[in-house]
Amino acid sequence: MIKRILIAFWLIGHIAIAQDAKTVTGIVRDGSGFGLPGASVVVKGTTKGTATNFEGQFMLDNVLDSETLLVSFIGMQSQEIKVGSNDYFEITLDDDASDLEEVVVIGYGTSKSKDLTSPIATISAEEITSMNASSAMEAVQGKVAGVTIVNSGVPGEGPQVSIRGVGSIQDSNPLYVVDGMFLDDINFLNPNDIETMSVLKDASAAAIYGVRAANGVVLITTKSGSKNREMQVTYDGYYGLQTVTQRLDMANSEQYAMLMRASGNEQYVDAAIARWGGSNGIPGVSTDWYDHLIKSSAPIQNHNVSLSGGNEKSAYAFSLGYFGQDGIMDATGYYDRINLRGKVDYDVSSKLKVGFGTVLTREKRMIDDEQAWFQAYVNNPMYKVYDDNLADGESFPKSFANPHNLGYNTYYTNPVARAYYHGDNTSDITRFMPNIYAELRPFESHDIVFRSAMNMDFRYGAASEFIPEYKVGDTQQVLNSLSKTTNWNYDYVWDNTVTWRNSWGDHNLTSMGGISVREENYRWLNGTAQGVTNRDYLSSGIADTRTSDDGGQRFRGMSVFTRLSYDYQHKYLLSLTMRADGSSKYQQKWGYFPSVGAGWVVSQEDFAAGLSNASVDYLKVRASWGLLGNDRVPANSAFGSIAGGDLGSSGIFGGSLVPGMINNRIFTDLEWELVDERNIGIEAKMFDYRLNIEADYYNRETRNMVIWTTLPMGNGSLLQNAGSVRNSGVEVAVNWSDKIGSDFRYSIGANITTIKNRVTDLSGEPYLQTGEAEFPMRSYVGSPLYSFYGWKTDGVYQTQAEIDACPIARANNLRPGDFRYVDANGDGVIDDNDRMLLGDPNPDFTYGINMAVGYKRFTLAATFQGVHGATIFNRRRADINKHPANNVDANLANGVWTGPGSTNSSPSAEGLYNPWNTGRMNDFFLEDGSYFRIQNVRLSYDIPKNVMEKVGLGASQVYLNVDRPYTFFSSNGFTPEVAGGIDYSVYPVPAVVSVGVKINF
Amino acid sequence: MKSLNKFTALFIGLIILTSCNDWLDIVQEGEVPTDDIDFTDKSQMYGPVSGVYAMARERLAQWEMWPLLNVRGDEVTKGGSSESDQGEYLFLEQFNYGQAKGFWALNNSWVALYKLVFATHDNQELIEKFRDHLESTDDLDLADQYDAEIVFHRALAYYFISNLWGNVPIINPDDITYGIPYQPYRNSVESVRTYIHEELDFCIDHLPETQGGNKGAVTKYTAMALKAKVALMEGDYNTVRSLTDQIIDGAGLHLYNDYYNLFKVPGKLAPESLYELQFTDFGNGDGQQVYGGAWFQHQGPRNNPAPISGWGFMLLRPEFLDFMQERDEDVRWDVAVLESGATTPAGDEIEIFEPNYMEIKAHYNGKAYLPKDQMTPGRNDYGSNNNIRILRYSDVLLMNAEAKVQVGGDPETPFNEVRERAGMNPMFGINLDDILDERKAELSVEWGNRFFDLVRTGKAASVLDGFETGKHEFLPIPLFQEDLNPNLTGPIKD
Repeated sequence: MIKRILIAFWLIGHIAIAQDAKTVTGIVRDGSGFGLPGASVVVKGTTKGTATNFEGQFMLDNVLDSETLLVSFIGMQSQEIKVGSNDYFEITLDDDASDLEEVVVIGYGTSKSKDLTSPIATISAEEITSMNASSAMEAVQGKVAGVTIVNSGVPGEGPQVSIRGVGSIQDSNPLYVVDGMFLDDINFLNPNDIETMSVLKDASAAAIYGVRAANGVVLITTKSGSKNREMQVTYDGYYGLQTVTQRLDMANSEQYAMLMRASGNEQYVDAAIARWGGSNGIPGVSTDWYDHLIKSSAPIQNHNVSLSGGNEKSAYAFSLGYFGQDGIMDATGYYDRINLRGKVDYDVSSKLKVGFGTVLTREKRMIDDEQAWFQAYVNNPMYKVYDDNLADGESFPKSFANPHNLGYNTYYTNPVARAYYHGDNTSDITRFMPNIYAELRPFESHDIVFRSAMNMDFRYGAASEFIPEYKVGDTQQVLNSLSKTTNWNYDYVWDNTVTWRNSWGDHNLTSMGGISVREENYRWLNGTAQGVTNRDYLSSGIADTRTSDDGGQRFRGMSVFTRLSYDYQHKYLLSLTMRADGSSKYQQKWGYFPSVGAGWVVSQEDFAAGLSNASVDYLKVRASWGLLGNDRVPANSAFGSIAGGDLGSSGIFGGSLVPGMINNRIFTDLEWELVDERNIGIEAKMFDYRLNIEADYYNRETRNMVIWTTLPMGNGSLLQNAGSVRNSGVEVAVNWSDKIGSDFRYSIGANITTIKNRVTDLSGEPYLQTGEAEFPMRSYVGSPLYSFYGWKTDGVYQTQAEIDACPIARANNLRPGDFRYVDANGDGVIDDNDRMLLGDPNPDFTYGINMAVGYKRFTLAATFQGVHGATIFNRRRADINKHPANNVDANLANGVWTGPGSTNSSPSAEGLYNPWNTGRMNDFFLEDGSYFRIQNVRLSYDIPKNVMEKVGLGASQVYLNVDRPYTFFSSNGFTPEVAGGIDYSVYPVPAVVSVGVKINF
Repeated sequence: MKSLNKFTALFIGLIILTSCNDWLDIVQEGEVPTDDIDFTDKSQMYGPVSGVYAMARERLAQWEMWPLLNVRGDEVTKGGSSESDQGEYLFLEQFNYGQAKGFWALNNSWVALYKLVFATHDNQELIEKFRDHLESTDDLDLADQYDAEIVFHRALAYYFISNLWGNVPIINPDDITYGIPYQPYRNSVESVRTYIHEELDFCIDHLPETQGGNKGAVTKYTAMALKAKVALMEGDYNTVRSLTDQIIDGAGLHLYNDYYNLFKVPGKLAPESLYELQFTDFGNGDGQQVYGGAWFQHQGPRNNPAPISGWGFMLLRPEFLDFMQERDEDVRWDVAVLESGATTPAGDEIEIFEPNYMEIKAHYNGKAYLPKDQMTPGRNDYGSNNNIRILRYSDVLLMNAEAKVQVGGDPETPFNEVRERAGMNPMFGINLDDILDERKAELSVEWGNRFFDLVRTGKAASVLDGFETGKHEFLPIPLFQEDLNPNLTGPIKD
């Protein structure tokens, strides 16, 4: 309302002044007839201009009949309109079908999409908020070729992200650069605050970030205001419920009892029947612990109010966001986040521009006990959650039942009790991330920009874990315990760059040079006490029990870098970058990271006229090479160190401690881990830009790969430069979008990424051995990194006759129902020499499908994504090798061999407890990690403006959103998304059903 | 242009900074560089020695090594909830070694013992750094003594490594380069034992006869006792006799009269102790404690309320119980045997446990038992504040007797000293079998003594079912270790 009055005043004022030149007014609309706010309307060849208001209306005074209006808007085709005798204009801008003119954020600058020599995926604000998730990266899953994402169901915990395969072992997460600040993750960021995200996938794009770029770079620009735009207020929010739609079925008591008899542990069953009832050897109680540990639903919600605008000299954007998510475990876990953000840009003069931005985040989380999930799997089902017949002092303060009075040891504990007593674990982080910059354009004749930007990141964390005094059978917390940790981070990046855009004739050259200095500081202080009388204070604990500890890390880096981007007629493209990085983490302080990229827009050649006849509108081929570094390795000390003074390193003599020290002569002395990456790509746009194809072949070789290696002879483990690994593959993304008539529109896109992971060098070692001693993984030259290594089964001995006929079976006292192993070397003996590679956790390919159909104001959009060819090691099942009293999942219990011909893939119930079958790494524990998931379905409706105006609001949208409703997979777990391919205890990733609304005021 | 000049100055300033590597040269926090220790402060010189005691305490008390040492003898079976509970130990009891090559406990024990070896080399380096600043003869002698205390622990580790695995590598500290994996070849068991002798000779030369300040620290006689045990494995009875004679004559040790409490709190560092892993709760019912942990717990009674509670491993075999009863061993029975379904002499009721894989009810290892009333109020962990005994004077006496049976002398005196303390009548005209029986009764479930006795005397094949001479003396080298160091499968290189 207020705006309308203002416009009215404006109009009145202008009519009074207009004499020779006239005032023109008008409205700018988009293809569907909505007013376009913020479109630029300028008089061509002058600096006269304005932006449309919220309704899309504009007014310009002092316009002459002879002049031309230039109307433009991001993502739309610009229009030029002669003024002539008209003084009112109705202008409709069409969508720009091609994104060639799109401005893409690249490191320390921007470029037009058409001038890029490397594959950079951009993700728009809309796509980022297309899923209702706490972290923006979750929404990227399945949308961008080459980006692999493994989600976590833990409230507030972001996904694991890797770009183009596992190159570095230390940390596969990419570098996030948020408005210039280097970050390890963006989980704290409100997805609504993100304007654009660029994923720099190849070396030619990423090498400008040198030592931080090995895992790829994700550039994030937060939303800014626009100059000459009225204040725009938007509310964006949703409320949803999370549910676990796919459960892991556990063996019930009857099945469990059958297994325990087979394992020689029937005393547990007898004890359970004696205590909890039952008949005919079948226990009366059958508890599925997951039933008691998983809530039927848990809320998730997000509310965001943003405000942006600008006048002639400044632009501003502010937002306030709240995100809240409860854990799906039936306990106390939750995640709450408040984001406050502000960004102001101000033109001090025509030469100097300054700006300030800040993100203030407050995160609060209550962490569910991870161990409870594992306990829910391994605990026997034969007892209840609570027990009314406990002995005095057996359980307190709550009367939780326990497995110990059935004879179980303390490896097992009541999962619900575990979650309940270990649920008071909070972690708060307050984060302040300011940045300030100045940009100077000192010359009128040359487009040279000096820019200095200081980005800082302060974090203060306070964590507190309280375990009350309790007893559940033999599991006892004799005294309550309180542990409090505070930590403090101070990081900064100071970038200084100069950029010169120069053109002569058909030549365009953008040169950029810069110096960057950064530092990371981290300190922590922890105190513990037992027997506290006040849950908040360590000082209320018993004096003898109080301990304190502290530590920290410091890192410094310094870089000099340059980039030259040249093109001739936007047809021949060349990009060169060079970065020299100094890092305090390596003994060899400086590393050098060059890159080169070239592109050729074939479709612009005269001889390529035939292409457009073949409906090819645009065709570009490009190639790039570069070196990237990785300093996400623990700092490299290069000196022996001492542990001393504490209990663990001090001898006891007659009850007294004599302070001791233990010398650690093992130290790291690492060379720079390098990624050598090549990329060849093609981009094509066809059929009037309706079909977009982008395909890339990549080959990234990580050299001097830094790996934790287990040293022989029990001499600990050590980070070493262990060799080289190559990830190569093809990324293809195809998108088609079109309209049928004026009311029906649709789009469909698909992307696929193949990843071939191969070890190419191991510094002369025959193999690299990692993993647990009993469940090893090996990496051989020519094979994938971290392949599971063990024995391959070859069916099950079905009859005694088969046993008698097999010398191996006789030698090992096997019985029908035991595994037959492949005798790899054919020597008639199954031993260590018969082991082989059994599969690896790296997927062969990942893929995503996006589709949307729209009819009038309705849009239905869906995303699907999948992974193929990854192998999962079911570590949960394999735990019976040490703990035969474990419960197992129903599939395992149902699938056991029960007699000749019953199955050829699982041992008998007795056989499950024979180390021959389960006490070793074999393919019985390996499962197919492939899956196909319905990632997201959203039905949205744009409420007509005239309806909203009746209640005083602007254009709005409501939607119904379903995230991850169903996944097709075959592994025996809650989710096939398992980091590192080892499924031990995974917080279920819930489905989310939510309703949301976007309202413009 | 003024501001441009400022920028230019800034850039130049930064470039100057760039040339300055000092800014990048920062010491990583959270680690104390070895060279930051003040090696001129000789009062700190005991630190590395104390550290090795701590390392030995931690590594030798790893529970999974305990069944490895003991279940192959004829006193105990592995126990546990069922046969499949840590079933690989049963393979070892049955001498089906091939099936246990990948067993986690085998690897962990190997790693634990070699870690102790590495720690002794690492900490000796510190002593050398202190030594560089010492001048007086007394100080240099002290440095030698400290060195000897460290070296003793290496000898102890090799004693167990060589007894368990036979041909094993001797770590050469000069060959360890941390850039390339150190992959030594195996030495023959004979040369490993020769090496242990050399190390212990150094200890005997430099260790004091008594340790005044640090109670329970190793002495010259501790080193002699260990050397005697190595010689015993070699059948070198002259050396055994000479060393044990010296201990008996010079060490001033005597058998502890309160035999029932020898393995309990009152018996910590008893006058017959030559070496113990020491633990303490510092006399407090709460707060930090140094605790033997799973070493006690795995031998504790199943289904029994805390603090006398554990996992029920290491159950005494019926043959051993019969042996003890036939000998009318009352005193030693009460110490060696913790009967389930009974009340202990100290007054603790032990819940009955009748494992389905045994014909008798459970009898736990009494030498790990600590009565509730000996625990510091507030502590609730089985065996809390108790030590783990490794070398005892009664072993010295029995070695002395055995050597004298073999190479001449009076075996009866030391032999009967042990028997009398245990309330047994003296015996005369004793032979090797008498001594082995006496050792079985006195040293049951202690550090593999029984199995090693049977192996070294060649009686294993006749006493132990499934044992084949020349095949089962030593455990297989852990598969994981062979994977990490393929040279372990290569030829023996002395």
